Order: sequence, then C-alpha cells, then structure tokens
Amino acid sequence: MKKIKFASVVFILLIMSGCGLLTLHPIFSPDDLVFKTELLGKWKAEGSVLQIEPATSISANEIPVPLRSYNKRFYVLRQMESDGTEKRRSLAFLVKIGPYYFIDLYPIETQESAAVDVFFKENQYKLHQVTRIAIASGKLYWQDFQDNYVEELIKNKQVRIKYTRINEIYSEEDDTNLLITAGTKELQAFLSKYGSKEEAFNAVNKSNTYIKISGL
Amino acid sequence: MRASLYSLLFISLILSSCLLSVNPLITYKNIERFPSALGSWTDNEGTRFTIEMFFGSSTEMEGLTAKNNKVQSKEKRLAGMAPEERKTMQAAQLISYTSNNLKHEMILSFSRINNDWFAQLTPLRVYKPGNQFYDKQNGIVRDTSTKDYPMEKSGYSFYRVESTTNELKFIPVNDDFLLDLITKGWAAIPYEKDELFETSLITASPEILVKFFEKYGNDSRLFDKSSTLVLKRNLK
Repeated sequence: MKKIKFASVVFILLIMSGCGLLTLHPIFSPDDLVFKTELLGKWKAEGSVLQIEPATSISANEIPVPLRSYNKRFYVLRQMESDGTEKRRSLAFLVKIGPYYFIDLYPIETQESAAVDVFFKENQYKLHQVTRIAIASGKLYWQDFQDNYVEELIKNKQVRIKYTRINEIYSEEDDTNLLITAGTKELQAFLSKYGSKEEAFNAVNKSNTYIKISGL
Repeated sequence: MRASLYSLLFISLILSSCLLSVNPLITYKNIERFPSALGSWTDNEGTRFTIEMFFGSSTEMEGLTAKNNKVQSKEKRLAGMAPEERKTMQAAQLISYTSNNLKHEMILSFSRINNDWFAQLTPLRVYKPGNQFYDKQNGIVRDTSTKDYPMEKSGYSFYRVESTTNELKFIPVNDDFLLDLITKGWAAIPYEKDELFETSLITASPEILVKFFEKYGNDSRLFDKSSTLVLKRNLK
C-alpha cells in the first residue's frame, strides 16, 4: 500500500493490486479452449457461491465479436456472496496447460455495474484474472495465484515476462504497481513452468473448495 | 430521469472514442493549477458537473473523518505531506456528476505543454450518496452500492483544453490519428492491442507521453473537435 495520504483518499482504485494474477492479454486462443460439462452448475464454498453456465445462455452482445462463434466452448460465471448477492459476472475460459487446468476470467456487466455511467466505465480498462482449478471427488478447487507472486518474481529477476510499470499522478515510480503485458504464448509458457509450483497459489482451504449444490 | 438517461447517452456518444492510457500524462512533475475550471457547469444536454479542488473536498474529507481522526487544518496537513503529494494536492481537481442516482467522481488534472493547456481524467469512484462506510481493515471509505472489481482498472484519457470565463471545452484525442501514427511507426508510443477482446491500451510512460504531446500537442489532427465536451458555467 502506498505510504502517502493521497493514496488513502483515492481509495477504491488502489487496493486492487493484490488479486492473484491479472494480465492484459488472455491465456488462450480459441483453439485452446476446453469445455467440461461437470463444471456447469452451482458450487458453494465458505462465504461464496459460484454459478457456472454455458456462454450460450447470455446475449451475444455481452461477448466480444471475435469470440461469439466459439460461445459453446466457454462459460459465464457468476460469483456471489453466500447470501446470493451477485458480486461479479465474468466470461470464463478453461484451458489445459500441462497437467493443470486454468480459468481465464474476463469481467462483464452485473446488474449493479450496468447502472454506472458509460463515460466513467470507458475510462476503465479490463484485465484477465488467471486461476488454477481442479475437479476431484465432486469438489471444485479454485486456487488463485498468491497476491503479487509474479510481481515478486519480476522484482527479484527470477522470471522474464513482459510487463509495464504503472505510475501514479502523485508519487515517484516504484516497483509495486506492475501490469503484466505478456502475450498469450508467453503467458502459456509461464503457466507451463509455474503452474505446478504450489507456493505460487493460495493453499486449499474451506473458502476455495467448492461443493456442487445443484446442476444446471 | 428521462433527461438524466438522455444526457448519459449523450456523454457516452461524444466521449466514447477515448483511447486509454495506463499511465498519466500529467503527474506531480508537471501538474498545474487551473482555477478557471472550478465551479458549477452544465453541458449542452443539461448534465450538471461540479469541479472543485480535490484537496478539502468532501471526498477527501470523508477519508479523514471516517477514521475518527482529528482533522488538522489544511496548512498542517499540507506541511505533513511528501513534496510530490503536496504539489498534487494543491492542483488536482475533482469533477463530479450524477447519473442513474449514482454520483460519479473523477480526478481532473491540468498541465501546460508548449503554452497549450491539456487536461487528464481518471475515474475515482461511483457511489450512491449516503451509502458509504468505513472499512477499518483497509483504512478506506467504501460504499455499499459499489463493489470491488479487481479486474477493472482506472485509465487516463487526455484532452486539449480551451476556456473562456464562462465556457470550458475538452477536446479529446483523435484515436484514429493517434493509432495511425503508432501503427505506421511515426510515433514511438508503446501500446498493446488484443485482437480477441478488441482492446487497445497505451502503455507509454509519463515521460514518453509528455514528449509526444510536446511534439504533436499543437497539431489539430491529434484532436477530435467534433467530439468536444462543451461546458457552460452556471451563473447564479
């Protein structure tokens, strides 16, 4: 967290840096997409519910034009609080890299965000969030990357991956705010190498182990 | 409500083509005061905008009072800031407007490059007035009507500014011309394009952006006059 006060006032924007692995580019090309029907349905973990449906269930207008013809090969994901309040909606793309499955989440509108003025939203850009998943014994394990794991690798010169520094209006450039700008192939190579490293991911616990509570 | 929706549509139409930058053009290094922008304004479709100094605004004060801290005088607070923050605080402005019963706030900054004025906008927050609460864990004010969207980040858009006492014009960058310059290799502006998700982002550093505006800032082709946001001052 930035030390100066302006940052504490520019509140919501800046606390988002630690959210697993965020990338500018997707981790897949359409030919890489995998569709597993066992993912479909409603899943519950401690504190959250995931509802996973095929992307064919939403309007084509919500899907970028180049991806519309592939809508049978990816999902739409609703992340909800345990009380059912919708937290996020995303397009969800499943990819197998090595022996591991990864989900690439790309945000789409919620009922709440739809009320936000277009001009405001057009001054924001969207990122992909990359998560490792596994389904075993009827459970869905949803493991985000550790916050700032990749940024630390970059700072320590342990990985070569394309990125850019994000500057703030009010402070000197530092290494705490990086945007991963690697392309799809480079991201896949990264996941191939680091996808098996358990220390890269949040440990399995009650809040990221989901049990299916209903089918579609 | 009808007027509000209409003005929302209008804003989206006239300013929809901004090519965003992940980095600011205007930082503490070149930010300047622009007091003539302060005040209450209305655009051609009736949307009311308020522009005020960020420092001392209710938005800034919320962050302080919510912590139950005794709020010091402005002078004392400024004295306690790092020089970069102090300079920013003394010049940064807050522009706000209401749409769909949500208050939208953005940080507005000004700088002069080759004697021309430029503005920069970056989203700050959207909230339903009265729904804020203090998040002790993170030391910030949050709002019950807006959620955290970690995959959505605030970018920066840039405008050439023309102003008179009672009129303020924000002329956005002409994306087609800028992309033409970049893709033909005439301007060395780092940018990223994702064909699959149809997104383009400028990733140049603030230093590169300043050099670019020093070179092209007075080239009329860089700005899209037809998309100008014209604000008229609300006279009492």
